[in-house]
Amino acid sequence: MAFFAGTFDCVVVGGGHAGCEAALAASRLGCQTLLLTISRDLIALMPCNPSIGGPAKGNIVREIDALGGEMGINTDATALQAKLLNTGKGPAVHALRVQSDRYQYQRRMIRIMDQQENLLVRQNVAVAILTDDAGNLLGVETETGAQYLSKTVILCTGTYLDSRIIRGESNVPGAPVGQMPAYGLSDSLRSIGFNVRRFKTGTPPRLHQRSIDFSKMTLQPGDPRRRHFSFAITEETRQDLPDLPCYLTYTNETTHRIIRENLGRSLFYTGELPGIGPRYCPSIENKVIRFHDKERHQLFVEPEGLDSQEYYFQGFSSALPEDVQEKFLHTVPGMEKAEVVRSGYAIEYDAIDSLVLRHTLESKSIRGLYFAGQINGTSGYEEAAAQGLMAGINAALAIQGKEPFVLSRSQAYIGVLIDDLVVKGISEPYRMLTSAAEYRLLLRQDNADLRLSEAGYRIGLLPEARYRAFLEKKAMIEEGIKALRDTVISPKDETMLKTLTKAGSVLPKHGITLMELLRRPELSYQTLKALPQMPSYPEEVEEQLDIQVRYEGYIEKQEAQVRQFNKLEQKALPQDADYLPIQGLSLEAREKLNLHRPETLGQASRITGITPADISVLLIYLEQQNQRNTKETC
Amino acid sequence: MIETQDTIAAIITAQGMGAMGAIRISGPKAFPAAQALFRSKKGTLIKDMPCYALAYGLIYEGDVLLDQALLLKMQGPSSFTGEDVAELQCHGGPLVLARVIQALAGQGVRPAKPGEFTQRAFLNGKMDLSQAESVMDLVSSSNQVMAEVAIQQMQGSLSDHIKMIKNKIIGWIASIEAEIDFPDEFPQALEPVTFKTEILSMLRQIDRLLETAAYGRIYREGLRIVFYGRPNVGKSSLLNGLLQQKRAIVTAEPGTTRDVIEERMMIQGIPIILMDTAGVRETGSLAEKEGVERAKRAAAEADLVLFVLDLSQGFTQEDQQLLHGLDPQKTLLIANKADLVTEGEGSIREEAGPFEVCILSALEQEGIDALIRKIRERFEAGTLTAGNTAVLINRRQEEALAQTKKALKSACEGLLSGVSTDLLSIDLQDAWSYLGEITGETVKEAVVSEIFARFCLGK
Repeated sequence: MAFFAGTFDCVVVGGGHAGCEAALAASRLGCQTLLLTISRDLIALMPCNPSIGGPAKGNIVREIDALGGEMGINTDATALQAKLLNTGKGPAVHALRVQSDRYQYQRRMIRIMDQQENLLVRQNVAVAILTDDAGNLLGVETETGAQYLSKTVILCTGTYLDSRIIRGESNVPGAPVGQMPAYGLSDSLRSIGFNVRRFKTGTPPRLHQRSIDFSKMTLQPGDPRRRHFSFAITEETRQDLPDLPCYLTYTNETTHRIIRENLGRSLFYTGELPGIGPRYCPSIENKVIRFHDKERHQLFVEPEGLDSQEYYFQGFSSALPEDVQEKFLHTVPGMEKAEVVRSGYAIEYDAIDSLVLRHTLESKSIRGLYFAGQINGTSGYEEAAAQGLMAGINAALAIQGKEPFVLSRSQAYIGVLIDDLVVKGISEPYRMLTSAAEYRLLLRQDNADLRLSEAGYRIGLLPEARYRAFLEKKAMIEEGIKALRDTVISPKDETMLKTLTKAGSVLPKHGITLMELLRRPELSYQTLKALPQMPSYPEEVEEQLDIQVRYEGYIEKQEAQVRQFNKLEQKALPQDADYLPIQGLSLEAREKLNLHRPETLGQASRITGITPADISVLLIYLEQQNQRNTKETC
Repeated sequence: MIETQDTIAAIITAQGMGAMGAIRISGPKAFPAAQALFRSKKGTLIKDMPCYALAYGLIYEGDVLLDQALLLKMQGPSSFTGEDVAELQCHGGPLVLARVIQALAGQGVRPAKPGEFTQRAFLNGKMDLSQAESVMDLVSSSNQVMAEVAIQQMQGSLSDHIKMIKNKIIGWIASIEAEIDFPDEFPQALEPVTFKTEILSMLRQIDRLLETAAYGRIYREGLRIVFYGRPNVGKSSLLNGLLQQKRAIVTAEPGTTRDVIEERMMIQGIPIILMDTAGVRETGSLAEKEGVERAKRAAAEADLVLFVLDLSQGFTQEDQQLLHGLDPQKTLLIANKADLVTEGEGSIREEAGPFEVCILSALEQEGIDALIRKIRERFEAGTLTAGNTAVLINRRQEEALAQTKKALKSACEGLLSGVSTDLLSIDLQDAWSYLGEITGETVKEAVVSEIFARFCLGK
C-alpha cells in the first residue's frame, strides 16, 4: 500500500559514485535532498578495480575537485599508492592514478554524507518514477510503498537495473558483491517513454594474498612523492602513504589456448547474448580473440585494502565458467597456486539512450528528471561521479531558477564527456579517453583549478577558503610570469654560464631573460633554479610557470583551434526549424536533425551520420534565413 | 528553404569549337520546354522516354527548322544537377545554339548564370562543397572553356591525393592517442627516425601539389607571357603582331600595372596575358638598374618568356647577358626581323644552346603562326609547369596546403628538438584539419560564405 513519505527538493536514486556526488552537490547548494540506496553499507562501492584516475579519468577527478566535488578528496584520504603516469610524455597527458582502500573509501564517503546538512541517506529501493496525468514529474516510489514527492529526481542506478550476472553458461539475476538487482524502475521508465537498452561490463577474479607468488612478478611501487587529486591538502590527506605496491605479470600461449578452447562455454560467444561491452576495457577472452597475434597480455595485481587479503587482477576480466577461469588463471606466472575468493563475471544491465538528455543531463521530455552515470551508458567511477556532480548542480540551479551550468568541450573533460553523451550518442559503454578531447593541452590535469575554480565558487560548491587559496596561487603565477619576462641575466653571469654549460645549452652573447632561458627545451624550471635570480614559489606554482612558458607556442596553437571550433559552436540553429524539406541535406541528416534538434551548428556537426557537406548546407540555410529576416525587418 | 524552382538552360560545350554543341536544360520544366522545340523522328515523346534514353530528332522554333539534334533525358535526381535535365546535342554553330537558347526562353526557360548548374548540383547534394567550390573557382575565371577542361582534371585526382596524405596523418594521430590512453600497452607509438623520414616524404608530396598552383592559375587567370630583350629588337611589333592575329581574340583592357603593359587574349582556347616590360622599353636604357631589375622580376614570374633579339644584329653580348639565368624550359628565343637577313639562322640556333629558337618577322607577320603553335605546344606538354600532374590547385587550396606544410614542418622540427608526441599531435591535428578544408571535411564558414556570395542565393 503506497503512502506519502515526505517532500524533497531533490531525490537521488542510487548511492554509487554518481549518486554520491549528485546528492552532495544538491544538498550543499541548499536543496533538501534524499538519497535512496539498496544498501547503506555499500555507498560509493568500487565493484571493479580499487583504483581511481589514469589518463583522462584522472583529469576528470581533478575537475570534479576544482568544482567542489568530493571524489578527489575521498580518494586522497583513502589512498594506498599514487602514481603519475605518462611522465615521459608532454604535460597534457600526465595522469594521476591512485590505488585506494576500497573499504575505507566507502566508510569515509558515508561519513561525509551523513554529516552533510540537508542530506538524508536512506536505505530503500526505488521502483517507480511518479508523474501526473500530464506527464509532469512528481517524485519516486519505493518497494515499501513510500512515495517521496520531489521537484527533481536524479537517477544514478549504475549496473543494477534488471541486472544479470553471467559466468559461462550461467545467467542469473544478480548485482555486484552479492546484491539483488533493482526491479521496477526499468518498466517505470518504459512507461514514461524511455527506450531502455542492455549494456554489459565485467570484472576479473579476486585472489587471496597468501596464494600469490609475488616473487615471479614485477614490483610496481607508487611514486615516492606524495601526490594528490585534490588541489586542497588537508590534515586528512597530508600524511605519507602506506605505498602498498602493485605487481605486474603476463598471460602466455597456454593461457590463450585454454581460453580459445573454452570459448564455446561463453554465452557471449555462442551468440546467445549480444553483450554490448566496453571496447576499451575488454574481457581477457575478447583480448585473446581480437589481438590474436599478441603473444602475451599485461596483468596487474592490485591490493584492495589495508585490512583486506584480497587482490584485484586487472586485465583478467572474464565471463567464462568458474572452472575454466581457475584453469587459465593457474597458467599465469605467480598465479600457479592462486586461490580465488571471488570469480570474474560479466554483468548485464539496463541503460537509457543518452541522446534523450540535455547538456544539463535533464531529460528533454520530463522536466526535473535527471540521469547520471552508468544508466547513461558510461563505464568508470570517474565518468559517473562527473555526471552526478553536474546533474546535482543543475538540479539545484533549476530549483533556484538560475541559469544552467554547462561545460564546453574546450573547458573540461567533463564537457567532452557530456557532449559526447547527449550530442554524439554512444553505442557501447563509454570510457573517457584523452583522444575524445580535441584540446587536451588546454585540459591538463595540472590546470583544472585554473579552468574551473571560478565556476565552482560562483555556483557555490567550492568553499570560500579554497577559493581564496586558488586566487593566491593565480596571483603568484601571474607575478611569476612577469618576473620571468622582466628579469634579464647578463651574458657574463657566472652561475648562468655554469648552469647552461652543464645542461649543454648555447651560451648567450647578449643579455637574456629568464623566460627565454626557460623556453629552451634542454632547460627547465628546476635546472634554472640554480640561478639566484629565478623566483621561488610553491611547487605547484613553479610547475604552472614551467608548463605555461615552455609550452606557450603549442598552447597558443591549441587556443587558435578552439577559436576556430567556437565559430561553429556559436552558430545557433533555430529550435523550430523543420529540416525535412531542406534540399541538399542527406536524408539521414534531415531525420537526425529533426530528431535530435541540436542547438548549434557545432553540435550538429558532431552527430553521427551528419557529414561536413550537410553542415555546409546548413550554413547556407542559416545565411538565407538571416537575409530573409533582414529583408523582412527592412 | 533552399529553393530552385525555375528552369535554366545554357550551352555547355566550348564555344566556337568543332561542329558539335550541347545545350543543357535543367529544372522542373525541362521536359515540357524541350518537348515544345524537339520533334523526335520516331514520334517519341520525352515524357515517355526512360531515364538516360536518347532520341534523334529535329529542333524547331515555331515552324522554322533550327537544327537536327540528339536529346538525352535524365530524370531527377539521377542527373548532374539532381533536377530533371534534358540535353540537346546539336550540330549547328554558335549562332544556331544561341537561337535554340532564345527559343527556350520563349518557353519560360531562362539562360543559366555561370556556375548555376553546379550550384544546383551542390544544393541538391550531388557534389560536395569543395567540388562545387572548385568548379565555381574555375567558372568565374576569365574563360569558361578552360574552366570546363580543368574540371575534368580536378574531379577525384586532387581529393585522392589529399585523402592519401590525410590517412597517413590520421594513422599517426591514432598511434599517439593509443600510446597516451593505454600507456601500459602501447609504450612507444612513433619511432622518431621512421616518423621523420615519412614526414619528409609527405612534405615532398605536398610540394609537388603546391607546384601545380601555377598551372591552376594559368587556367584561372591566363598564361603569363613576358616579352623580354634589349630595346628596339621588335618586342612591341611582336606584341602587336600577336594581338592582330585573326584567331586571337583580344579581350581586355590596357596596362593594369604601373610599369608593365598587360594585354589579354585567347590563343586557340588558351587564355594569355601578354606583358611587355614597358619601363624598360620606354627608357630604352638597360643600363638603368631599376629597369633591368623590373624586367628580370617579370621574367622570373612569367610562365613563358619570349626573349626577343634582332636577327639582323646577331646574338649580341648584351643578348647573352640578358639570356643568362633564364630557364630554357620557360623560354622561347625569338629571332625577330628575319625579313632583314638572308642567313644566320643556323648560327643563332647553335648559339642559343638549350633555348628553343623561333625565327620570324613581326613586321611582315611571318612566322607568327609557328610561334602560336609553339606556345600551344609548350602549354599542352606541360613543360611550362613543374610536373605533368593531373591535379591543379586553386589559390585557396594552395593556402590550405601551405598551412598544412607549415604544420608538418613544425611537427618535424618538434620531433628533432625532442618535443613529446602528444604535442606533435597538435601540429598533426592542424595539418589534418587544413587538408580537410580542401576536401570539405573541415567546414570553414569563410569558405561557405564565399561560395554563398558567388551563388547569389536568396536573391
